[in-house]
Amino acid sequence: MTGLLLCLALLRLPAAAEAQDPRLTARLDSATRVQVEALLVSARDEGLPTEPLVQKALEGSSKGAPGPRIVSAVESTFGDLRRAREALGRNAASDEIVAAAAALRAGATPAMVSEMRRVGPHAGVAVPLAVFTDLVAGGMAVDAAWRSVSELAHRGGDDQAFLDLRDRLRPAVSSP
Amino acid sequence: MRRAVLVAVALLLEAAPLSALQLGGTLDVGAGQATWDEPGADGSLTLGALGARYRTGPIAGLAPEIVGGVDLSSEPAARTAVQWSLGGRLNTRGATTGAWIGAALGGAGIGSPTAGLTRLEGGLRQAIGPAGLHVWLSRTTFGSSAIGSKELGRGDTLALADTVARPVSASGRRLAEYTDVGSRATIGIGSYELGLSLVRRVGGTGVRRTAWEASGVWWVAPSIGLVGAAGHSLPQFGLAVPGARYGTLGIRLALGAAPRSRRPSHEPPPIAASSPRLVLATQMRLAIIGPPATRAEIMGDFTDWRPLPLEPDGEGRWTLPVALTSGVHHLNVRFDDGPWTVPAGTVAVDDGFGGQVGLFVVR
Repeated sequence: MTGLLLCLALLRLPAAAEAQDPRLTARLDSATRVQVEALLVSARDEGLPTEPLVQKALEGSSKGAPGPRIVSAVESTFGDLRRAREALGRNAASDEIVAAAAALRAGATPAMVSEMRRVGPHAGVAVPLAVFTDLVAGGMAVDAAWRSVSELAHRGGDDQAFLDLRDRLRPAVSSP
Repeated sequence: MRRAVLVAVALLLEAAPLSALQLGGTLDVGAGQATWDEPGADGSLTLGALGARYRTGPIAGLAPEIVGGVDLSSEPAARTAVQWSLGGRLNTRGATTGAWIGAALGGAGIGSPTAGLTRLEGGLRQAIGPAGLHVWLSRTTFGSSAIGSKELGRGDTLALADTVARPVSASGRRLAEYTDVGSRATIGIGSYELGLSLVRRVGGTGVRRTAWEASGVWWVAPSIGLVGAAGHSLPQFGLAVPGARYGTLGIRLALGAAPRSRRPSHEPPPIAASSPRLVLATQMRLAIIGPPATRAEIMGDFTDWRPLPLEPDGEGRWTLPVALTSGVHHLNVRFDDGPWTVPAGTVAVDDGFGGQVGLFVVR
């Protein structure tokens, strides 16, 4: 029986070791770290990017948040990534998921993200979604920003066209 | 005057010990072509300038700083003109509009800084988004019997002209006194910074009384910039160096921050920051206009959420040389150890910890 348990433990070791991030080890208490690492394992199993989760945990640590709140915030970020991937579809790349999660937080709806996936550049929709988020950051209303991005997507604009759109509509922040 | 400046600098250092957080500077090295305001004097021009600025904590509602620098430049006879200065400034802590006064002492000479100089200065500043406008007045006095009687060399023409108009006293002092009224407009566009200066000399002598300079910096890396400048400089009486039309190219190394004009007569005052706004987000540099403050910090997913000091760039912005990947990033900034805030120019979203975090995009 002990041997069986040992074997099961060894089988589990690679995933746990994979989830260990030295940045978390250094900055989270052990109880919080274990819970965050469990979320990292789940995210990895679902094919979601894990770096946003690590960063959310580090953010909480730097802001002095208690462990349970850090875990809750990481779970919330996990949920954002899930919703983003659901809106984008199973084949979404990591950068698209991160950009979609940001767009959702900036005010886009899952339907908007799904629409962009359908009509946006075949190479990926990370740039169009990031441009939408950037326009909102520059002060544009969500509806107006989405209308601009969506119209360009329907006209078949490529990444460069979206970047040009961003430069035309949002000169306040330079980003060559 | 010199003693008073030294005492003031010592008091500022005593009040706020040196720390890397508030110390910044630049090192410029360049070369170009010059046509001197002296018959038949054309030739190459080489320049070197080291400038540093140290900001201390607020005093009586004002933001003091210690400024110093060393300038080296070739003169018509291909010798090296040397000038150094050390002084202090008091800046008002206004938002977009402010004022400053300062005093500095130093030395100047050919080959070595044998002559003393003192400078009193003051000015106004106005920030308009990523642009800044500065207007200032400075009174400079060179005084040394050595320059008046012993060390006049090939650049003597203008120094002698000055002597005719304002004879050297029995002690050899007051060889040159003049007042400069200057203005400078600057703007940051992406990795580029452009500037235009105009200076009018009110006192002193010399056939030329107006100087101008158009300059540009292209930051090719977070701490490395290519600098180009063209203009017409005023004579430097204390060095017996005439003015010149010039065009130069060089390299600027940001040794922390605080870019500094390579010509003291063109040096703009620092400009006060406005309300927090992210004004530059490239893969190499972030820049934020902030409220009046003596220190600023930033943290985000590009620092693993460890606070890093922002560096004043001398143009009213707080900057961070950083390697950013393209895509979505998050940040917070704070000033003078205040609360972490979200600058305008980012999407403020709930951070999950009872506050907000700024979301921005780098392409």
